[in-house]
Amino acid sequence: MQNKKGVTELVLILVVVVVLGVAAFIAVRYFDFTGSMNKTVDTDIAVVSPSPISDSTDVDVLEEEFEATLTGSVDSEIEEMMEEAASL
Amino acid sequence: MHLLLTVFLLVVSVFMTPKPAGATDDYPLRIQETENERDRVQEAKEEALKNREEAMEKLREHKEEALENAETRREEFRLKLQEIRDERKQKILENLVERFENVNTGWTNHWNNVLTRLTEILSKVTTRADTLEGAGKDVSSVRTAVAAATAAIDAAQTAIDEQAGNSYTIEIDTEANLGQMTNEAIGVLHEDLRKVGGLIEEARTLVLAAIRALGEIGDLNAE
Repeated sequence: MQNKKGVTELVLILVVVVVLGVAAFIAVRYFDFTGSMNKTVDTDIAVVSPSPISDSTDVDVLEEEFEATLTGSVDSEIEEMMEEAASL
Repeated sequence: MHLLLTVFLLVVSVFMTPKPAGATDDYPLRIQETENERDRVQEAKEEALKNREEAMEKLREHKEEALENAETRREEFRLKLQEIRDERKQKILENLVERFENVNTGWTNHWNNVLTRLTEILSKVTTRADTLEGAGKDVSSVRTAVAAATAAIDAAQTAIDEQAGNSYTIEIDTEANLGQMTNEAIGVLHEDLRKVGGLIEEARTLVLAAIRALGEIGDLNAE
């Protein structure tokens, strides 16, 4: 009888742990999502200046620095504006 | 005494250090060459940044002009906005007009930073080409690629300056067609920004072509 009670408690603890884990996962995903929703031009600017241009003239370094220099796209921001305008 | 011994050991270790693999008899000259190149890179980068500062100053002037020009239109917009009875719509329109300015300023600043980086990278390509040319390599393909990239950067800069001078507002006609008029205004901003973004991307592609042209020549040791 006591064994059965112990197993039930263990299952309950496991359920609580799983629920907390799922909740934490959802929370992380949600904040990440809202973070990306609120993404402005500032985030793109951060993308374009990851590190200053070095003094190296090595072709590999030049290519790395080039790859880190991103033009970006205005599309997502324009879409957000369109969505806002849709409620007019 | 200890100091003298340390200096002596340092000097001995420098002379005893074996040459790196692939190094030729003119190894010390190569070190000198590298140091010279580093100095030239710094000079070229400083020069490029100085030119970029001038470009940034020009951009600021364009923005100030745009703000002055937009003031009348913005005042008209505010008056029209008051005629709208729905407060929720008023708020949305107010936010959107503010956003037009933020988006335009944000992207023109961002692209200006992109051009600054591309200019710096290109200045290093030129410096490296100078070094290779000094060593007897044919760098004509790099020179051509750098010239094309420079022209594209200049064209992109002109487009950014013009874009920074643009101001956007929503023409409020009647409350019934607010959505349509707003979408049209957003469409104009989108098209304008896409055109400028296209020119930046073109300049970027040409800078990559210059890097690739440099890569094809190889280094100083390559025959």
